[in-house]
Amino acid sequence: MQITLKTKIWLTVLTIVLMFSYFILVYFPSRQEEYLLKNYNNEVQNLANTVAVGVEIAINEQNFRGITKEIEIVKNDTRLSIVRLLEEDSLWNKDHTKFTMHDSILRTFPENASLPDKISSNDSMIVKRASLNTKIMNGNGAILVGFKTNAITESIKRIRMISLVVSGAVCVVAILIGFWLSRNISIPVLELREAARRVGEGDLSQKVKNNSRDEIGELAKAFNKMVDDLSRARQELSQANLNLATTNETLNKTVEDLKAAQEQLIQAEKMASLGQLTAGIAHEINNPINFVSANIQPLKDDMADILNLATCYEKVIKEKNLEKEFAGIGALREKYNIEITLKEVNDLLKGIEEGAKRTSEIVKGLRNFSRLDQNVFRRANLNESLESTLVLLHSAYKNRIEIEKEYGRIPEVDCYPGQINQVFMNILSNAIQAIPAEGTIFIKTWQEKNTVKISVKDTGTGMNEVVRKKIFDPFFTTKEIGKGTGLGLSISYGIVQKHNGDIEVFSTPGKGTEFIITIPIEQETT
Amino acid sequence: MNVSKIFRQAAIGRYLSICVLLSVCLLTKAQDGSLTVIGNLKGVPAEMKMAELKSVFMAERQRWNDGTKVTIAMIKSTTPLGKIISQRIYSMSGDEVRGFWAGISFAGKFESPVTFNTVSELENFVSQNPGAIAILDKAPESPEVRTVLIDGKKAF
Repeated sequence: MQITLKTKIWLTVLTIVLMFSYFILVYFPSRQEEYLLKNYNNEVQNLANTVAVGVEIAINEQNFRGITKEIEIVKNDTRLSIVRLLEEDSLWNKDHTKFTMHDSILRTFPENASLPDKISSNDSMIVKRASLNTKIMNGNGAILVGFKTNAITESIKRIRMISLVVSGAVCVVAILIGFWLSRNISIPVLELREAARRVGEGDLSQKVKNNSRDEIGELAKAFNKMVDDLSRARQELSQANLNLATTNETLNKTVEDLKAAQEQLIQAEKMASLGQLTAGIAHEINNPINFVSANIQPLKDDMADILNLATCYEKVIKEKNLEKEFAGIGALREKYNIEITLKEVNDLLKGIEEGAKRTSEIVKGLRNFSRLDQNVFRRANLNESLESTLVLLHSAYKNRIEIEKEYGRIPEVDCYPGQINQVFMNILSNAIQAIPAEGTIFIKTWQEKNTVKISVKDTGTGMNEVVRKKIFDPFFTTKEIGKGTGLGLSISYGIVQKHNGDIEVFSTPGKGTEFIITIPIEQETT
Repeated sequence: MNVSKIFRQAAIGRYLSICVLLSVCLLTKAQDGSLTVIGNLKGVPAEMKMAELKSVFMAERQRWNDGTKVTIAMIKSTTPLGKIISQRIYSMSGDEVRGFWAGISFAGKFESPVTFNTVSELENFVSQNPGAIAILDKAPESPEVRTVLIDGKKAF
């Protein structure tokens, strides 16, 4: 059970008051009563003795007027209840072996006192007796006095009343002292406790107001100083934590930047290697395909000439009726089904031409994409960059995704073409991968003020808001482990930022995603 | 032992013998019943009845006929005369008379008697206090007191 300081103070005050009240109301009056009664008894006894001595002398000297004077000592006392002159006589038994003392009342004052012959002390009267060493009548005399105790009772009542008043006054003073103690000890301590509790909860603005010049005041000052010190320490700690957090954040960002830079470097190195390889392959393929491309038209012309010659031969044969002479040629013609062959040749030539053209485009795309000059800042046509990228990704989307192009009339922009190609490659790859089966990718370019905007919109699965907010975070990927590094869009974002541009993403789950890339037309030369 | 001392002892012996003789004479006279009542000239009547005298000495009367307060003067009851008076007037012993008056004095209703050791003191007191009355065993010597006749007699 917890007993508060306030309770202890009140218990102490109450105990003192109770003890004081006991002494004032019970013990002291009781002692006083005993003392008064004892004194009164002594006084009455002394009076009886005095009167007895005086009477005894007076009787011995037969100074009867002296008796009257002696008796008047008690008669004039207002407290007197009764005074008797007794004759003590011994009554013997028949055998005269035993006797009993017997008092005979000679005189009583006041005579009309209605008291029994044998009286003794009681609550209302104290009776005392004093013997006379002289004979009166037939036996020794004695004086018996009875004094009323009402004066004592009144005194006791007065003492009790005074005690009650004093006790009441002490109670009032004690209550006032209790309040004073509570006010000066308990309340400040409770305030301190409450303030300490609030400080414990973290509120360091707590101050205790106590200007008393005692221990409580010292405690309050010490508490306030402690709170100030705590507040200062916490501020310093908070500042240190803030600095640490900032440092930590900076370190984390630095680490992330380093990782991203490392990955970017690796990626760039890969791309550079790939670009060199691609450029080498393109260069090596370009020469033979140029031969093919360059020879197709002469071949077609030659074939046309040969066909024309053959047609001339047939016309001459028919005009000169030389069918019999060239019956063998006719049989061969029938045998080889020359019309079909000629058609096949044309088709083959068309196929070769188409293949060469396609190969040239691929080589062109490879060269355009690889851009050995990727670290060179120059002007580039972004429509061409998009086309080159689509060429490289053709195998990934052919036969299942339709590409809707809406290239606008856009100016060339200042950029690192290789890096911009990388951005288009990442975004188009993601768009293709976002379409699980069949779908459409809409590509649109346009100029807006001093920028060129490129929109790549797919009809894929789309993404929710949580994913959308994280897609540019390094190493964030929704792909299976091992299938994506989570760096593609992060690197792309970095490249666009490097070009002072921006990438916006709009996505609706189940409907698709749209990336809008903004690249300034001109870059500030630094 | 010198002569003067012997003479002084002889004188003391003579005085003692005279005193004893006087006492015996007085006792013999008193026992003869010759008591005399004296009273102050003021208040105390010249003649009284025995019953009246007794009532006075029994504290039954407080005023004389002329209104003077009754003052009783007594020879102490321990003296031979006192004992005789106790016997004759009170029919009590000396101690009983003493107890009687002690009771009267205790009550304080009646003025207590004045007691004396010698007849001359007694006579002197009576002569000086109006209303004072006393009993002697001889006729008064002072002219300032009167002898009260009891039942017509000077002595009884």
